[in-house]
Amino acid sequence: MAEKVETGVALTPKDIEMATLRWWLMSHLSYNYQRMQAGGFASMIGPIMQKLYPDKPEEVIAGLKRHMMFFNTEPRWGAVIHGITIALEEQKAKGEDISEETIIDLKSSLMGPLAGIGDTISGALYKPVLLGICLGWASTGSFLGPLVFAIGMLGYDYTITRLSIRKGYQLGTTAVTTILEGGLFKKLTTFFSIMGLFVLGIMVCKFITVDVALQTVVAGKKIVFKELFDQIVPKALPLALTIVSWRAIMKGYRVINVLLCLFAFALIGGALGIIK
Amino acid sequence: MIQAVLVGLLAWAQSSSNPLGWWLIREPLMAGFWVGLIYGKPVEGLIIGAAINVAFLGWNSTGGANPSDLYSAGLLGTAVAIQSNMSTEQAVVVAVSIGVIGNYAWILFMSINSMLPSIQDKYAEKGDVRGIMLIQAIPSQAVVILVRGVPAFLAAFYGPTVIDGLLAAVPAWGIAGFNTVGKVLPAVGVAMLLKYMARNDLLVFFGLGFAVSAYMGMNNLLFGAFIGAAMGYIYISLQPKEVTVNAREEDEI
Repeated sequence: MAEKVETGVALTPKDIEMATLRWWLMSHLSYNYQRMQAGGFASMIGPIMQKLYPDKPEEVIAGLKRHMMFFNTEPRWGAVIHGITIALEEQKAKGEDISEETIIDLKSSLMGPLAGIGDTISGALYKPVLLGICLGWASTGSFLGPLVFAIGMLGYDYTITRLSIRKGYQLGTTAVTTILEGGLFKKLTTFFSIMGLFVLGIMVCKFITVDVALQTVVAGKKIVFKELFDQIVPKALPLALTIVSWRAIMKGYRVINVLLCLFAFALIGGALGIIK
Repeated sequence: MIQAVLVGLLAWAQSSSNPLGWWLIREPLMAGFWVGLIYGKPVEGLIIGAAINVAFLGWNSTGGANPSDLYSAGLLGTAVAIQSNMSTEQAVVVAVSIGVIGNYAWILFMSINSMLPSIQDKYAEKGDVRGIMLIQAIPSQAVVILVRGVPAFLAAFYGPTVIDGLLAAVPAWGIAGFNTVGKVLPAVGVAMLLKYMARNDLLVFFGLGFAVSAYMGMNNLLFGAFIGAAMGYIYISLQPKEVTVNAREEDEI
């Protein structure tokens, strides 16, 4: 192994508890279309970055920028990602050779699948069952309904969030060490890049749901443009918007300006009935 | 008047986007109880809220797109029903239609908030963690008061007529425009991820993911992750062995 520079800063269980609490309370406070839960993630990990790099402000800045990326998952089960990320950031601060791309790829490739699992367990299993029981009480006018529901949901929410972060942190800490010693890291980075990019391709269709609405009548025949596009490349518009935004950001245009352009494009296009 | 102000405050707390709001006030069962308490009829409120809740039993928010708005349906549905002494059946009908309008409050909240990450970026550039947290917590609450608290107060104060008036005041093209904004803006987030994740030699996998999803209509990310993982594994397996040998030798030096 290469020489490691031990910075000697280690996270305490209290740091993890505080990060859990921050995520639990703040994950959705500024929930928005542009980057979903990114601000919540950055708020969760910000103080951790400060603790890991007490005298390297440039590393804190890099970390904050890295975690202001688009992020969206089920906030309870998806918190496994937060635990793994904290562990990776800690190893990185200790001098392990973990690239920024690895951390971003890992977050991006796991957030969708964990959202799928979490939404199913929380939204399709646990909540409806508890709600069904409590509605039975409530419809007869019993206050047991709201009381049991509130305790049952708050307790579930916090317990699962805390457990996910802790397990993710343990997993991240042990797995990273094993992988680094096995020299597997380069392979794993490629692996997560492929997985992440493939899932990102699907996200284009899943999250950007805009479509062509334009119709016109030519010689008494109705032409629906969406059908024409769908025969060639379905979802061409979301892909085009993504590629154009990506190239613009790569060319150095500021994100806020790209956002404002898309905002205007959507508002005007929607109002005129060109897109929907 | 005081009751209407309390309903407005309750609507703010309900939509403040944290677990306390979600689990103590969001569900119509809970909202109905609190609204009933405000109007001095907790049991009636609870029963109406529960009836409304049955219509929303399968409601599940994923990625911020909802068919009807759970928040306003329970809270305002109960407030309107209690004041006009409606039957529970009537209350459910009113609540569901309020929910359809209430969706615009959600779209507005998400759209206005879309400005916030760009402000947080500026704080990130300076390494100001406290600034990021403040922007995370404070401005969006003002948005909630604007799009949730004030309309709820007006609806509770003026009753159902104002709700129809609110909807009539916005022209159809304005609504169509706003609906579209929420469908387009995630492109910024995806593009930013692409900037960081794109490796020229692996960009083909992004295209592959898009093609599979676009042509087959498959957008299950868990399934996608399995396929992606399998492809990643195959790709690595096909790499020439010497690369890893070199890496090991470097490690041992």
